[in-house]
Amino acid sequence: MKSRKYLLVAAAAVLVATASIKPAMAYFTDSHIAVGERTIKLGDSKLNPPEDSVSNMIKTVAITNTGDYEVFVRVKAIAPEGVKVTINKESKADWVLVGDYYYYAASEDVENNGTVLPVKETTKPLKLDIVEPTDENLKGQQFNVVIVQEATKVLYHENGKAFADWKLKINGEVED
Amino acid sequence: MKKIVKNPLVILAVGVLIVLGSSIGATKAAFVYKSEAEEVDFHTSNVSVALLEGTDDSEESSDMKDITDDGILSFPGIPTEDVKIGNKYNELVSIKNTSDKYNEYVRVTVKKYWVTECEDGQIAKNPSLDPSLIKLDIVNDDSAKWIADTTDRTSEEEVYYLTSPVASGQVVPLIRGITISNKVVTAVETKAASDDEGNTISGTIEDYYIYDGGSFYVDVKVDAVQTHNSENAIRGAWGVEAKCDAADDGNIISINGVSAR
Repeated sequence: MKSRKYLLVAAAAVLVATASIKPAMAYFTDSHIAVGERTIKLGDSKLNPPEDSVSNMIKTVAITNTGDYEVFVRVKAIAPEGVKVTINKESKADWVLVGDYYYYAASEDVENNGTVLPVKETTKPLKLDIVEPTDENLKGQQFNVVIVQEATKVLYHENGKAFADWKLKINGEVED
Repeated sequence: MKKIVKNPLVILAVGVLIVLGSSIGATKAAFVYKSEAEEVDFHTSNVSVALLEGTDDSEESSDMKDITDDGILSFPGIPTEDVKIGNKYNELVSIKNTSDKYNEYVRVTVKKYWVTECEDGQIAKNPSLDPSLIKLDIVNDDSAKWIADTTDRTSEEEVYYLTSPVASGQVVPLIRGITISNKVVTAVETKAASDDEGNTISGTIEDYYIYDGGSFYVDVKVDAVQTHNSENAIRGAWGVEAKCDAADDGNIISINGVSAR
């Protein structure tokens, strides 16, 4: 009979204790979460073989971007010894010769003033004047002018300005 | 019969019984009514917080949308096709104290990671791609002072604490922009080249962009806690040791020993 009394007291004490602990743990809180995503495309840039034709010793080249992102393009013309290749004045507004390459760019600062070639679009034609060799030994022989086209992905500065990195080296450093 | 009525004790007992019975009924009714009233009261006073996302948070613009219920960051400033590498996109995320009267402390856990398609076609998180190439512009100026808990950070996850309590209705900016670093174009893997039928072409190699087709994910988790009994509330709710300059409603001086100054 006496132990039952103690049990009752103990049960009461436990009740009171748990009741007093609970409010101390119940801090007011709130929590939410949100998730977002986007996919980036790099892949290899794809150009179609240059559309080129020769008439009146003027070679015309145009390049189409068949990849899935914007690129800058440049073209190199390889001609045999004695054959001179110069840019036609009609193309000088759109193409710039820097070093060995004709860049699709608005000025000689080809890194910052390149013309972006959007997906599925074609460049304005590059016209190259071809002058036959004047040397007696080479005159009259058949020759080929080979066109090599290259592309690089359009990169951006943080302010949104586009730039081309033609020296971009695989696994190398690049300006952020 | 006469004898019973005459006994005053019996009359007293009957009287007491009647009084008792009537009073019990009355208190019961009152009790039920009162508990309902209390329940309603409890729900209206609470701490709550919301996440806002948009591209323009100027006062005259209503571009910032509450995304708390959807739980989706839709990146309205970033195109779904052809994300420009290196460009800083306009992505504004803010938090808002939506409780009707209480101040609150707020922290956010920002997680960023890459997801790619595995060889078996499953889409899964790719821990070998560097989360630090996903660059978030976290506000840290006069408009909001977020401090990073440098004792609890990885390149994937960082926790930021707002040092001063957020008043009811106040909006605090958190993220101002997202940039994918130009370094993603320098990471390539070299493999033996194969032709259209899958046969290896001997002596020829091909480079593959490791980040090509990868998706970057950003998770933002926001937590709020009451400002009363602040140090204990922060420890109890978030499990971090905070020092505050007042017992209630003060500014946070340090988190896990990291000074807020």
